[in-house]
Amino acid sequence: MEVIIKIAMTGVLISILTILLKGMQSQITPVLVTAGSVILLFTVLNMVNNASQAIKNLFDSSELGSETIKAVIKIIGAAYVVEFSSSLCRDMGENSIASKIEAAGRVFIVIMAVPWASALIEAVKNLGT
Amino acid sequence: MGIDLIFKIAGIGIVVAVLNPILIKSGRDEQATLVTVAGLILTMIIISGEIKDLFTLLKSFFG
Repeated sequence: MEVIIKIAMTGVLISILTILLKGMQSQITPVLVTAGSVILLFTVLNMVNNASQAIKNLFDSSELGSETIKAVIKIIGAAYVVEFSSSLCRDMGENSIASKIEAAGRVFIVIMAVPWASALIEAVKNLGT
Repeated sequence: MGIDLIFKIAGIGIVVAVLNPILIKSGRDEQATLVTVAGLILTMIIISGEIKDLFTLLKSFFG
C-alpha cells in the first residue's frame, strides 16, 4: 500500500515542480518531466521485480510452451518501452514522433506474433483433415 | 534514486531560470545563453544515466 502512496505523491510533486519551472519559462521543464516519468517507471518495475519469481513459477506451471511465454513477456516489455517513450514525446508536443514510435511498436509486435499465426493456421488445417 | 534526482534537476532549472534575467539585465547576454545551455547539458547528462539504468532494468526483466 505504501508503494502506491509513494508513487502518487511523487507524481503530484513532479507536476507541481513542472508548473513552477514552466512559470519561469525555463527550458529544463521537459527534462524534469522525463526524469519524473523515469522514476515512476522505475518504482513500478521494482514493484514487479519483487514478484517476478512468483510470476515465472506461475507461467512455468501452465502447460503453455516456454517459447510462447518468452515471446509474451518480450511483447509486454516492448509495450512498456513504447508507451513510455511515445507519451514522453507527446508531452513535449511532438505528436508525429510519438506516432512513429507507436507504429514501430506495432510492427515489432506483429513480427513477434507471426509464428503464432502460422501455428494457428496449421492447427485449423489439421482440424479439417 | 527517487526524489533527490527530481530536486537536483528542479534546482538546476530554478538556478538557471533566475540567473538568466540577471545576466541579461547586467548586459552579459552571451553568458546568459551559455548558462542556459550549460544547465541543459548538465541535466541531460544526469537524465541519460537514469534512462540507461531504466532500459537495462527493462531489458534484464523482460528478456
